[in-house]
Amino acid sequence: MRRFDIEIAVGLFVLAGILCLAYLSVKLGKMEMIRGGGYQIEAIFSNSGGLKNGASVVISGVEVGRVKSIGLDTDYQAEVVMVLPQNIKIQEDAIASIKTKGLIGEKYVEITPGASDIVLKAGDRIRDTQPAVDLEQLISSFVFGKL
Amino acid sequence: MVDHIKQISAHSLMYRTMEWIRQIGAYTLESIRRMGLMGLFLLNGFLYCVVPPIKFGRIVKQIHFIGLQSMVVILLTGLFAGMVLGFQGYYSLSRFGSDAFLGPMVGLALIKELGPVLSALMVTGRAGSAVAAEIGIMRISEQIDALDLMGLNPYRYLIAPNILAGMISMPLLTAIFDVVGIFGGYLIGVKLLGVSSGVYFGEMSHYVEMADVLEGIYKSLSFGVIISWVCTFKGYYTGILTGFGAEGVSKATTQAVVTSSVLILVWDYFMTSALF
Repeated sequence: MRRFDIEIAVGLFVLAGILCLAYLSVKLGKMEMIRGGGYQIEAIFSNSGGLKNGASVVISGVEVGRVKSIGLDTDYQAEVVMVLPQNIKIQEDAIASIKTKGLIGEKYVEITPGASDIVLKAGDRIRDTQPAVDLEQLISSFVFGKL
Repeated sequence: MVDHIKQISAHSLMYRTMEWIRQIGAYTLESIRRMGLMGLFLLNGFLYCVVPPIKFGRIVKQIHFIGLQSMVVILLTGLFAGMVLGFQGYYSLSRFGSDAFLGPMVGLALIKELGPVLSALMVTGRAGSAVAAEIGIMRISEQIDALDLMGLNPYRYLIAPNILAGMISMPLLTAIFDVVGIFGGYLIGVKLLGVSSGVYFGEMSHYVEMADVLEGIYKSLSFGVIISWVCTFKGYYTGILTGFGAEGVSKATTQAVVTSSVLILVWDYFMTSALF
C-alpha cells in the first residue's frame, strides 16, 4: 500500500510537470500541435524594415497568420512568405503593408482586403504592397522641413 | 671548508625548490586524476541508465524524493521570484513608458535563466545534499561494499536511478517553477500595479518563442544530470576522498552542494553562450 501511494504521488507530480511544460510550449512557445492545413502566399516589398520570421499577419487588427520566411528575390527586393489558414480568403487586389506596433514595437504585416472576385490560391503573390515606413527618414525629413 | 658549506646550502636550496615544484606537479596530477574519476563515474552511471535491468522501483522512489518533495520549495521560490520580477520589471520598464513589456520580460527571464538556475540550486540544497549524505553513510557503514559482495552493482542500484530521476524531475520542476513564477508576475503586475491582463499574457506569448522554452528544457536537463552526478559522486567516494567517519560525510555533503552549485552556474554560462 505504501509503495502504491508513492507511485500515485509521483504520477501526479509528473502529470503536473508535463502540464506546465505543455502550457509553456503550446501557449507561450506557439508549438504547433496540429499542422493545420494552412496555405502560403507571397508578397514582394521594396523594404521589409526588419520584419522577422514568425511575425504576425493581421487583417483589420485580427491576427490571422504568421510570416514563414523572408528572403531576397532576384531583383534585390524582400520576398515575404506568409501562412494563412484555409478559411481566410485573400482577394487578388488585396494590399499587404508592413506596419509597426507603436513607435518602437515589432513589425507585422497588415493585409487590407480587396474587392475582386478572384481569390488567391496557395503560392500566389499579392501584387499591391506597401513597404515598411522608415521612421528615421520620416523624422529627418520632418526636421529638415522636406515634408 | 667554507666552500663545502656553500655547496651544501646551495644543494638544499635546489632540493627545496625541486620539492616545491614536485608538490605543484603532484597537486595538478591529483586534480586531473579526480576529474577523470568523476568523468568515468558519470560514464558508468549513464551506462547503467541504459543497460537493463533498469530498477524502475528505485527510479520512482528517487523521483518521489528529488522531484515531488522539492515541490513546496519550488512553488514558494517560483512564486516569489516571479513576484519580485514583476516589481523590478515594472519599476524599470515604467520609467520609459513601456510597462506593456512586463509580460515578455518576466516570461523570458524566468523561462531562459531564472527558472532552470534557481530551481536547480534549490534542488541541490534540498535533495542533492541528502543524496550525498545518504550514499556517504552507506559507504562508511560499508553497505556499498556489502552490495558489491552480494554481486549487486552499486551503480545500478544507487547511481543510475538518481541520474535518471534527476533528468526526469528537473525539467518538470523547472516548468512548474516557470508557470508559478509567471503567475506571480501576473499577481504583481496585473492585480497590484495595473498592467492589463490581456497585455501581460498577449505580449508574453508573442515574444516567447519555442526556442526559448527549449533552451530552458535543455538547461534543466543538464542541471538534473549535474546535480545527481556530483552529489552521488561525492557520496560514493566519501571514505576514499574525504576520510571515514561522521566528519567525512559532512565534508562530502558540503563539497557536493558547493561543487554542484558552482558547476550549475558555470555550465549555465556556457549553455547560454552556446544557445545565444
